[in-house]
Amino acid sequence: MWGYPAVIIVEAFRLMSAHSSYECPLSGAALEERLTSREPKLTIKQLGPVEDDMSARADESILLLPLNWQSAENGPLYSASTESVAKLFSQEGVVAETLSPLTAETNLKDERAMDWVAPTLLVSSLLVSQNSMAVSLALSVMANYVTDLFKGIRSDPNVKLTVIQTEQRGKTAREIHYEGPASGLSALTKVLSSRELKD
Amino acid sequence: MDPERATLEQLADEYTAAMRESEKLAFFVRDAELQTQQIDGLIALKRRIQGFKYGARKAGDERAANMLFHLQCGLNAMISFLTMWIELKKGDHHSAWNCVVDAEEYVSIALRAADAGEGLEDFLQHVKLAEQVIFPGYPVYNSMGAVIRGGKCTVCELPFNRCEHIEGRVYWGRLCVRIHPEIVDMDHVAMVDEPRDRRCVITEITTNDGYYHDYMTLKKTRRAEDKEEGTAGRLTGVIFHNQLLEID
Repeated sequence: MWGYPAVIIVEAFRLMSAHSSYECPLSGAALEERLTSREPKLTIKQLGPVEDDMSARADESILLLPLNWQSAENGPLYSASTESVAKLFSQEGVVAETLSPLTAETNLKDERAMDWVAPTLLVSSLLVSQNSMAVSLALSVMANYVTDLFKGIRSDPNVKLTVIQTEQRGKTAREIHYEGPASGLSALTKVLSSRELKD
Repeated sequence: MDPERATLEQLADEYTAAMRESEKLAFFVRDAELQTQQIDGLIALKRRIQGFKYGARKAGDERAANMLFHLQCGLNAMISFLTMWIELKKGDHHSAWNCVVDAEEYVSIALRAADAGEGLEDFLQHVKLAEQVIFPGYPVYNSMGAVIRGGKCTVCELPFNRCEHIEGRVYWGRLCVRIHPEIVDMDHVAMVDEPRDRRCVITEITTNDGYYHDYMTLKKTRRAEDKEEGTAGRLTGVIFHNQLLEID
């Protein structure tokens, strides 16, 4: 059997408590938040070249891509959040557009898990270096939106976001996948800016 | 007959009084008849508040319409919570579970409609505590993935891609939701620990005794099919819950 007899543990606690006192700095919702806080997961992988047209458009504005942007054989399939995010970006002054027009015939992937799946974004390193505010504003608009969406259900909801960042006019690209709390989305700005000098 | 007139403050006072009165009845041991009467009273008040909300809309006051929708959702949350106790006493545990989820979701919508004090957040904590004590909890839920397209906006009734409204936000006292989308393909059903809809639960599960058991009560419900090789067991569950909450 492992462990110590309970009586020894109780005695040890009695001795410890005779010498030390502790405070509990967190309680209620703050304690719950700390106990359930999640570390964001960030994965980065290199991709091949991106189409010239897409790359050129990404220099001007953030592009909202379909999930199957690399091989849209059966037509584009966007995340179901894309329409609302596109409207939000437009209303909040984020320079952005969808890769193809969203119509009543556009297929949307509706995931019914608690994670909020953001549209895939395409940004160029040129855009990041020339208009870094655009990207940080986009991330902050999405974080605020999703926080509001889950009010009363989850205080810092989980977000899944993929960002494709092109470099050297689309000759190379990398895919950054973020999975974590909405409050951590802003940290992506730094990750994206870390490549800006290579363009 | 002249239409009834009231200020937001008067309606908020009526709401607060009704919620306080309801809190006294929000326990298992309270009489079901009294709980039912209280629900009837809450429904009547909610209908009046909805009426005033339409008035605010007509008067072009979106802020007032959203405040009144906040009160409407708060009342709906309390109605769902009281109904949960009644359903529990009737022995309909699955319906009681749906009621507790309804109550929590109504609070969420209310909080999105307008910030109106901390009363509802306290109530939500109470509901969550009750949920934890009453129900055994679900380690997994069902979560469906589908390919959809189209659909209409509940605020303006235009095709969702052609309006300015954002899903999940409240406009003019009405929640924006995409309704009637075409389901192109049912992509998958997964088991997840955090679903978007917690009504999508496992309802029955087989055990080694060769019977299905109710997942909540553990009672035997029916004889299970013969076990197939390589199958650990079978289960039944809800993968899609079609009922929409009151969003207008």
